[in-house]
Amino acid sequence: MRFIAAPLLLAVVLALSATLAPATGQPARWGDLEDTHTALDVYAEDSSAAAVVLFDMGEARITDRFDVELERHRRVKLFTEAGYNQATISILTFRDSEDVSGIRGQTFVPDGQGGYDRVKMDGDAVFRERVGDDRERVTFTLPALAPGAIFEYRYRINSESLLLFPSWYFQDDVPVLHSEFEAVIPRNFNYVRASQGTLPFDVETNERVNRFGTESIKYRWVRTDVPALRDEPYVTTLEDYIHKVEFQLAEYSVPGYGVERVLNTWEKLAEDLDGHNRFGRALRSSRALRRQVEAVTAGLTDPAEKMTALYDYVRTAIRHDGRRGYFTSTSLKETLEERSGSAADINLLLLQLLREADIGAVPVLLSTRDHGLVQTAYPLVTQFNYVVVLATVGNASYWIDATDPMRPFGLLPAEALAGKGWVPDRDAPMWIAIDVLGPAKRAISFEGDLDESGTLTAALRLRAEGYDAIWMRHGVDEASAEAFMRDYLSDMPGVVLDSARVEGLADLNTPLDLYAYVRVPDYAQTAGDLYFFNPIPLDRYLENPFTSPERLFPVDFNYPRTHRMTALVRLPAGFEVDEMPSPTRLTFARDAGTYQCQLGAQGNQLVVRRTVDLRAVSVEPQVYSDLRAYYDRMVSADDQMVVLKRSAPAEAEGSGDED
Amino acid sequence: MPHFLPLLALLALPTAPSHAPALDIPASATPMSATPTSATLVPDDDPSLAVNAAARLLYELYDHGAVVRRHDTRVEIRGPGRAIQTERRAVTIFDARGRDHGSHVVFYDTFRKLKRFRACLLDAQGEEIRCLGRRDFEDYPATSSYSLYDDNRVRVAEFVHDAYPYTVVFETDVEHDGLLGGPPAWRPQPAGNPVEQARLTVSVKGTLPLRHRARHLGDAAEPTVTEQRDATVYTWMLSMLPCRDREALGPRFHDQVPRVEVTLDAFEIGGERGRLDSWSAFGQWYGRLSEGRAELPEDARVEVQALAAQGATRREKVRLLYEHLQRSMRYVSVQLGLGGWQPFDAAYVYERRYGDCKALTNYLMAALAAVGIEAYPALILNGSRAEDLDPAFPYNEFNHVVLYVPMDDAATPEDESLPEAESPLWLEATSTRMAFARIGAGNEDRHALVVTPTGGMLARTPASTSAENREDRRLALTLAPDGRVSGTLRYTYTGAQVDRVRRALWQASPQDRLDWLYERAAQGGDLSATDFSRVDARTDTLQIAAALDVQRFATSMGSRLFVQPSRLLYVPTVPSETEQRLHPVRFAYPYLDTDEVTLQLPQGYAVEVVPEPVVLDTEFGRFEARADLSDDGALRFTRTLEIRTRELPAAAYDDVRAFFAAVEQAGTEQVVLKKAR
Repeated sequence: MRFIAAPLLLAVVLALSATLAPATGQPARWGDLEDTHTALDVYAEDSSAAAVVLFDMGEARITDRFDVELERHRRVKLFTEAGYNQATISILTFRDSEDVSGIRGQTFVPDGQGGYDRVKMDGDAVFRERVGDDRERVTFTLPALAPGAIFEYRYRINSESLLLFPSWYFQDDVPVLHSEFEAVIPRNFNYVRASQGTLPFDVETNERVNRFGTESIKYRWVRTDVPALRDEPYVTTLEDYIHKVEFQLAEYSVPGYGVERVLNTWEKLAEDLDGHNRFGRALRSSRALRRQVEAVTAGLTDPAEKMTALYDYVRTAIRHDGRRGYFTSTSLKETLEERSGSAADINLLLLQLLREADIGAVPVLLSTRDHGLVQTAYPLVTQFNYVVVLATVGNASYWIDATDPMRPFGLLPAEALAGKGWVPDRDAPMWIAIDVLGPAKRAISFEGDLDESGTLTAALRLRAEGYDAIWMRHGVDEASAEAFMRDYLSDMPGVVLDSARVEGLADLNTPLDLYAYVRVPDYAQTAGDLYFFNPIPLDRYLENPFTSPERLFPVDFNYPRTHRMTALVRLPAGFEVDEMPSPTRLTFARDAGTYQCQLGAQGNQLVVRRTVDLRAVSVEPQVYSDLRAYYDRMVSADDQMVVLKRSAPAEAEGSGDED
Repeated sequence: MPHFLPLLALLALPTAPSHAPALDIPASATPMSATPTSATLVPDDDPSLAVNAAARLLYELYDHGAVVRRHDTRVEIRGPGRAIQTERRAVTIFDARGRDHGSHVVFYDTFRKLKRFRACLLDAQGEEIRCLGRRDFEDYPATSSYSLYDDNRVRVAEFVHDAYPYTVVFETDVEHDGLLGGPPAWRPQPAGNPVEQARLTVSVKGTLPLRHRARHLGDAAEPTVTEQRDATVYTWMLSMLPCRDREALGPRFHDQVPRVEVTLDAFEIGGERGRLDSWSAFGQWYGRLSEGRAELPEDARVEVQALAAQGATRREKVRLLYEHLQRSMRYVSVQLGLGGWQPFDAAYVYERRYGDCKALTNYLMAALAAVGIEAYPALILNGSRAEDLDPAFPYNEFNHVVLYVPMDDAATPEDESLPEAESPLWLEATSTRMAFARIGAGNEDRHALVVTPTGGMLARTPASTSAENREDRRLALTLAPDGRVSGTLRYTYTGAQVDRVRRALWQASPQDRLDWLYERAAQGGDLSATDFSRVDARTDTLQIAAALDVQRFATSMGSRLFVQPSRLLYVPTVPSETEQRLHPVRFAYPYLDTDEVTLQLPQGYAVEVVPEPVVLDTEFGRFEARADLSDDGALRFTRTLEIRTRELPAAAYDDVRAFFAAVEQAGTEQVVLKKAR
């Protein structure tokens, strides 16, 4: 079942929580199976579920050794073999500061007589391996799986970092009947908490308790019957929608020493970042950087020219290794020397080079679109995962990100178009709208001759700007203009590419132009005197990408797009248009999307003009059905045919000439 | 460490670091004959790595951003279980496209220890800019995608620079403590880059005989052999190797690039000695390794005996036990040291209900033994595009195990052709979904080493025919004047096509199944009354049925309706053009697809245009498409696509391409209906 209407679901939750969930507040005991769970052979709310999480209990606390300890106990029921992947668990930790221990697991296999056989997981089914320099991965798998079996496992993670209090996810890719998280935190520690999800908690309490002789607060969250989280196309990230609770240490007090504020305002966060070794304090000049600035800006006096020269230098010289982040992974000097780095290394290097050239520039932290929305109410640095640069020359501001050698100045990576970013200025931190959406433009000019055998011979130019030019430049550069065009034209069955060339590949400030000569045998199908063909040779919508009839999350197009095509087709001698599509204009949500296609015939020439504009960047689920219908109508419009017939003898022409 | 691939991961062969201590990448095959060598450009042994004319020539000829300058490998074999392998690889990066080739990956595991590595960045003159040491090589697990855990790890180093051209040099020493005949196969062009100079030197201590085999090396296939004081030295020298591009519809890329394989007749690994001078000897070793591991626990014995008692014939008993295994076990791969070769014992598998291909095969063998049916494990090189082993060259390149069950008590692998004998069964114990007695496209039509109590012997797995691997699609549709159709569809599969479809749909959620069918049959429309019930069974044939309703099946224009009858039928893609095909064409399996679409026409419409029938008959396949009006006034469109031969010579590539281009073209043909006045 998918949850569509929240009130309906809520009712279901309330009804079920009474019957299925373990009595709240009573810890599930290791090995004690509950009758309601053993009797379950299918999850009524989602009969397609291959498994359900019967419960997932977590308890996190700060111990008397001042580390953070998480104990987790999870029990799963399998319905079909498709649920077996739930039984292999992989935990990634920091090797130096975290430790996974107390791993136990067991499976209860139906014995065929209404009871269960218990099979324990042996210690040799737990594997530990080093990953990279500083991580460790612990992997284990439960034994004796079978449909109807119930398995459970538990483990403990101890972390030395008080900053990283564990997050808790209430949702998974299978339904969760009961998910419960308890956090016991001494009163002298204050964490900022952020919770996310469309459903309310079943229980959300806090109470005073005494642990290790310290006054503490026990927080408790319970959520029951949480539906499985499922992926949909054109979603920014499921991370935006999953039900979770997150923490970040704000302050703590040491008796006799007063309160140490760790973090609890954006101002404090900005101050911390400013003093951080891998952020503010990493922004240091060195002789190598200064020499580089001198070399790159030699002879330039205009600050704007210096800015683009430095951008071009970093963009082409330093290779992005694919990592993101906002902290540098090494010194700027070393990034410059190694010619390779993460997005943070590259963009902060450029920031420093700009400052060295007396150009005002600030870092802007953001959360990329696949990383989730930033909630401004919570000053949690972990909400970010990326940093770009905002530079100012005169009165103009420029967004800068040098991680892609094919991206022109002034465009951010598509995934960085996150709506807003945060400038961690220690004196005046601020939010700033990321309003450059950049164009993605494509224009095709097509001129061809259709001959009597139905073959279309044509010259075409494909011109791309903005985001479209980025991926096309990569495609051409990594292969060749021919290889790229061959691929681009593959929607025309039987197309023969006679030649192709590219212009504007190196100069990112000009459009990218691809020229091609093509032949398409049998482009028009012929039957005696009747010829017919589709008048839109390229870029037409073949299928509606929105296959699903309904939608839970917004459709996300990332940036606006424009496609234009002008085609001129000369008809074979002695033929004229018999039927052709009438002019079409389609719109979606006023002018959020428009489609126009117009054909004109003049003598033996056919002219086609088609423009598709998408201005909407994000479409809410409420209007999804309109969007889907709009795409359906565009596919239909693109499907229309032109029919030719042999012209009547010249004498009779006068009367047959219709508008 | 060599280890076994699981069936699950087989069709998209993962980049298993098993045998090749190299990045697995793209390119193709002939040797030096097509090389642009001229007298002045023959590279000398100049130790300098300054960018020279030869390297520039390769860069310009192949327009490839990275040229391999040196690929020198020295292997010093000190005994059947010990060798030192020293490698020096230098790559010149000429432009930004070559940047990603400035890295080096070294695999290591229980039997391969990394002794030394060093990497340097040089400028165009060959002068050092900077160097990296052991600490700078990052260390990662290289657990294969299908394994829960294994002991493969890698060390990776990389240089990036922006003053082109620049050169990167990597030097590594690996100590082999345990060999299965010899070091991994040598491939100087694992990624297909052009190579200026490559050399393999193998020195063998004392009188140990070394066997060797070279592929795609042309006239450089034979080594120079020199005798030194206490060793024999074999040297292969290659120069000016052209760029190799991956050829579509061919063997694995791995098999397309030049390679040299060397092996001793005796080996030692993890304290186990064995011989490889014959297939039988290698089989004996594997048999010995598994000895005593096929003892079924008492509970399991009782269980399988009760189960087998329900079967009347030997075949029926085998089927019952095989399907029981499929239902009760799952695939979990753990490969540690010799565990890459030694199966977990049957009791372990019984208790945990999981195992890898060796363990599951061993367990099934034990279960059959418990009911008096003898069966043997068979080592095989799995992969539908993998090159078959050479019977005359005993060598270890196996990656998988299946079970061989003689069906006639007297029958042994050599006399499988006995006229009255029932042919033996090959069982894929690793698959939880394969129909009984199917061997699968990844195992069919090749040699396998059957491990019998007296040793090992080669036997050939059966080859399937196109008539066995069928897809039959039937659509019965009614067309409305607005272009909409509604009706029913039924897909029927047999043989390898069942495996293909089950692989996609097995354990898939109802939504994923619907999406799968939607994409194939109902884009732009709706499906209802879908029947996927046979997907979950392990039947020989598979049927999928549904009702469908598609809005834009035909396009309405004035008085006409344009109908593309094959619109809801999938069309195979046309393989890309190549200038000179080097490798044979290889299909995963021969197949026969038949389609029939019947279309009830709307009232008042008559057929104005019907495309001419298309008939192609070639040596390797047949294609036929035609549309006719049947007696009841319906339009009937039929299509047959048959590929009869799994492998064709390279010369046939253009014909194959033309064949599929014609199939694609035929798919665009339209029928025109016209409304009567």
